Amino acid sequence: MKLSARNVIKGTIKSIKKGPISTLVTLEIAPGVEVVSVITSEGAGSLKLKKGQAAYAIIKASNVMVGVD
Amino acid sequence: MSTGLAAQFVKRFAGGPAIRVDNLNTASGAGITVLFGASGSGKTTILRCVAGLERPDEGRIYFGGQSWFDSQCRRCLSPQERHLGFVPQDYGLFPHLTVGLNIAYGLAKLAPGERRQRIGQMLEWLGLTGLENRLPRELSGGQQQRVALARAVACRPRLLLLDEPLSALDTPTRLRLRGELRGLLRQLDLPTLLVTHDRQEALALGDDLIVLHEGRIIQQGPAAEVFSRPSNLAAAGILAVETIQPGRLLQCVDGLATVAVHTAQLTALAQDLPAGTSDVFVCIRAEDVILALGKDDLSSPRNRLPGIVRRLDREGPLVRVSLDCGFPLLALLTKPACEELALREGTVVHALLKAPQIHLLPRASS
Repeated sequence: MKLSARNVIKGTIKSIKKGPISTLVTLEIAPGVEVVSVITSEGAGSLKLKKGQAAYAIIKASNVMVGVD
Repeated sequence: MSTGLAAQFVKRFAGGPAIRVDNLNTASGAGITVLFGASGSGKTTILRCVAGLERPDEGRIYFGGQSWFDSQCRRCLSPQERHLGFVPQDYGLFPHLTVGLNIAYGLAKLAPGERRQRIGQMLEWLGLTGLENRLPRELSGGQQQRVALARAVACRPRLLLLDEPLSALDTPTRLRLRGELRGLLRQLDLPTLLVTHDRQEALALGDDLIVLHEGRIIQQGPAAEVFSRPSNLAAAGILAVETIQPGRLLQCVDGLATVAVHTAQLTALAQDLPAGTSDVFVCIRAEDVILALGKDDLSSPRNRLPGIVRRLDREGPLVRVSLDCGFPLLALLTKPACEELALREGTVVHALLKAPQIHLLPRASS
């Protein structure tokens, strides 16, 4: 499968917090670098996500903000 | 009591529509509020009424708890008494005065030494040092804008008003100055009211957004929230949500709504819908759509819509992709993304959309 999203970043699932509608998935990309995702609990269930598993954060370029100190 | 701007007024024009501001409120403290709407929606009139350049027919305008206008007690402070900075659309620089004298214009009350010092600060802050003896016509558009900003803020106003601050510039300059202007406004740390009809500008510059339609406020709130969740169809249209399609609610389970749109079925969050809703408008922003080639069952988005590329339109570094997914859907991709997927008219793709990116608005039953 090929995706148009410009950012496909591999990481490891560090935590999964399941809510009634949404699930908060934290991916560790590198030591100390985390990406947090909110997906539907249905989506989390269908992917059978588990802690420690490898997964990708997929982010469109238009959704990335840039900030400076 | 609010310490920001609070206004409720009517301004009528002979033979024209009335501008009716029911309840305009800006947050207290520094922050940029954008008045956003199409041409003729009343943005500039509202700004001029706040500035004291136009007098509403009735109503009240307060700022920081102080009454600026009250038709009942016939109170109407002059622009000077309101102590504000105003940057008009064409900058309004005095063509026969130098940069330094333009900036000095509102500083007559200061002692000469202090005035010189203030002008120096402004020139330095806005990167205009060395240009103080030039005339406006000897400056670029961006420099003229900075002089206008310097003149407006040199007297340390309580409120800054900007009318379409970037509209007089050519497109490349406008894009460059958009970021610069935001940085400058941030540094100023002043309550700011800015008028624009440009969606990108509103998003880039505004903390809060007030959407105007035919002389009325139809939505106000934090900019990102207003853009992603327009409160009605008129707001969705003005905010340029690219895809708006009528749909029918099939079911709501566990907070997820299933909606039929022509031959397609979509999953969205049901949280914004009043109980008993059955007919909806489905709103999707083109920049939220991801396209995938080949079968995708390995990612989390709830919506994977099979579709065919009907048309590709270049828009600078981006490509607008018109799709047929059983209903017309627009996607906005970067050019490299389009090339990598080798998208052409007729390419079969899947459009991926997260459930929260599909915004549902209740629709009157047809």
